[in-house]
Amino acid sequence: MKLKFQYRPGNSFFHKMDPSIKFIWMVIIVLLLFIMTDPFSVLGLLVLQILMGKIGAKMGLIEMARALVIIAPAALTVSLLNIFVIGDLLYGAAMGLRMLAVVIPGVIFSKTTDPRRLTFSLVQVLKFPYMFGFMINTAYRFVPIFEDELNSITNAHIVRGVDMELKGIRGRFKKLQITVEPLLIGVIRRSQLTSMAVQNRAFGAYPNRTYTYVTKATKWDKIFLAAWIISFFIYAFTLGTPSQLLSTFMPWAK
Amino acid sequence: MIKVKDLTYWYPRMESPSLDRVNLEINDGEFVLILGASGSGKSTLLFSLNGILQHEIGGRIKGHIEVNGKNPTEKEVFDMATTISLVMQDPEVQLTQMTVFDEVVFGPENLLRPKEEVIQAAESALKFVGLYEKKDCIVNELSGGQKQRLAIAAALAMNTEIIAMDEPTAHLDPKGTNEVFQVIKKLKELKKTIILVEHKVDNVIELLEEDDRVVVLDNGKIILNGRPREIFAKHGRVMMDEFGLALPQIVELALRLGITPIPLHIGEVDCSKFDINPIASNRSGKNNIPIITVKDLEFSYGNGVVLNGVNFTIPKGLTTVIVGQNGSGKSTLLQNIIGLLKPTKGKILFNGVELNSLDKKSVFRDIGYVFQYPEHQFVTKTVKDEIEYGLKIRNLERSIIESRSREFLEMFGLEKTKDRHPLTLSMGEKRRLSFATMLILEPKVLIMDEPVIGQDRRRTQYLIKLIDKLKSQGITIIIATHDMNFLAQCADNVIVINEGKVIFQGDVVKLFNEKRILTAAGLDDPPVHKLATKLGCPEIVTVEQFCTCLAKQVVA
Repeated sequence: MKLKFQYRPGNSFFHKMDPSIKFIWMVIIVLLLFIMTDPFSVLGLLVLQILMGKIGAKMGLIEMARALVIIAPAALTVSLLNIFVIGDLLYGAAMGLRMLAVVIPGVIFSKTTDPRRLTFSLVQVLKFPYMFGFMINTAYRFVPIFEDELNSITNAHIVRGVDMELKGIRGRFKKLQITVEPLLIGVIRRSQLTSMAVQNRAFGAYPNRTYTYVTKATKWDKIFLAAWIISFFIYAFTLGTPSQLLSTFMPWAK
Repeated sequence: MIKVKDLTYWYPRMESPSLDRVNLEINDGEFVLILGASGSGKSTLLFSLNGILQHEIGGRIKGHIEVNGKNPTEKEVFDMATTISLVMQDPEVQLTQMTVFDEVVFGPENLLRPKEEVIQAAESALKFVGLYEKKDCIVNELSGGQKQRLAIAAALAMNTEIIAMDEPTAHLDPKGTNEVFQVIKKLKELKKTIILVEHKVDNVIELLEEDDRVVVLDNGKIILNGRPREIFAKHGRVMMDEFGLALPQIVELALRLGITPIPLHIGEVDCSKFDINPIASNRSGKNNIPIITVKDLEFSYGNGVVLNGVNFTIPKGLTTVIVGQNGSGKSTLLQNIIGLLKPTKGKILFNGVELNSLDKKSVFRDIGYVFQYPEHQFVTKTVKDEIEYGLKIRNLERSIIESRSREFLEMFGLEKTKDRHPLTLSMGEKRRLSFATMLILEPKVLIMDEPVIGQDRRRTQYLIKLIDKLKSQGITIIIATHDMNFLAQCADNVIVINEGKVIFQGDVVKLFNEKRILTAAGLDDPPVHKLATKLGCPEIVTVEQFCTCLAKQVVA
């Protein structure tokens, strides 16, 4: 399975960055967008993201534009709805731009983050339980396998004369009904065998485990993150309003 | 040392035991081959040794097990994992990490071993199985044989004294199988205790030495336990006829011809004792009327070309077998033939008419397809409904449906299970049901994808008889398989696919004598053909033919 925005190896600034730091940076961008209600700030942030994608992740402008095009219809709908329902042109524009601005960091993250390093980083840097990292690894291994299995089940039904090109909600439900049972049986069978296989390799023997692959945040990663945290608070207490900040983080304090 | 005493085990909700008063002792450094028909309890026995059965699966257990002084019923599975490693049948389920190196370090890391020690163990294990150069590769990108070698490397890195392997080559093509057996041969030299469950006896016999051991299970009981020569010589006939087991071809031949002492492999056969007459092959694609013609077929998934410039014909009323390595494009080709996939270029003619111009429903009526996993095909809640399903779709009269379904339930031995859910059947019953659901529709062509994977001799023989019967009714059969013995027994016409291209089309005899083709496609001719060739009769490809052609057996 080849995904459009899947990881592509490289040596850009973002490629070298620790995935957990990158993940926190992405969260900061989302929070910033939460408290930005004027379209000019959102547009500024969007342009900054594109520049960061171009320079920091060595991504092409067309590549980023493709991602924006995918979300553009939804962004336009949100804008128009806000403009016509609330009657505020600037607010409506900001809402639409928000959706576009959140896409670019996501694309930068997915294109520059090695899934293997991400799972190690989540466990080693953000101290997630190692069981969590294992789950991500297993999902990464098994999703293409289950996709193949679903394909095989669908084909097996087609040759029995079952109409698998059913459209509409009823059609989809019928399709789901006949494929879900054999697929689930396959999933359960594989899960049981995998569970047996990993137990046989002493998985879960101790609360901790050794890591031969070590990932940690570098000095530059920390500086980058600190700069964004500071920028967030500067924006929040200057251009953003304290009430927006309060309503975003402490809705109960209104 | 392993000691199993009066071990009886019942799976959850089962009334009859899967292991029945099993007694077994295995010494340190011993190599033990476990044989048995499907469902005889081989895997269950292996799973009891590392505690998986007791702690993961549940059920009831009686008796005592001791593995290097540890009782797996009392010890935690991770504790047992430092003593015994298990390599399982399906390469896909036992590898959970993204890269080759991560997979091998996974076990020792879980045991909190020091980092340097883990790296050293992983590197030496990868070198041992010949995968060191691939250590940074993604596991999903490895071939089947490489994945099983990786599973063995992961077991080795755990540094356990005992390695148990449950049919590690069941899903592999001849090349992958050979790779794995080369590694097992090296493992034997390390003097580790090895317990191997395996159906591919012709490969495993090459590994066996005089002081190795063969244990035979039937219905959960150990019925034979001894040295290979003793077991095969004294009990070979019973193993074949009563327990439905495949014997190494050379052993089977010797038993059928009454040769003593029983040779275990070709190296032990005294060729001067035979005088055989050449025969004309009775299985060749003499029928030149094509039912399917493939012309300049190309097929790609995105940018990946799977089939490229494929040309061949399938003769009407004969059995055509398509062989090739895992990933060579066999299944893609079959799916193009039935119209599940659309060729990127070229065309497929069915009875002279382009397949794409035909109504899909009429194609599926004329061409039946039995998938590798029968459970994928079931759509109803009972066996009877499953058999009737295709007839109901065709709006046949109720009385006709009733009589046909009765006939097929009886023909495939499924009357007693007619009210059960298809998914609750045994593997053999599921396989029979999948054939019945297709054959009741009276197809003109029947396609089977890997029908003999993991099947014992009895089931394979049943399938061969069924194929002969269908052929006599004029049905054209197309089979994709890796199994060279099965191929030799049923193919009239063989197509070899390699890297998306047809590199051979002809009869079995011609294929087995084209070493260049066999090597290119990673295939291997069966031992009986190797022996016959040595004796000057390269047209003999099965044990049956060898026995028929024997003009004189010189008694020493």
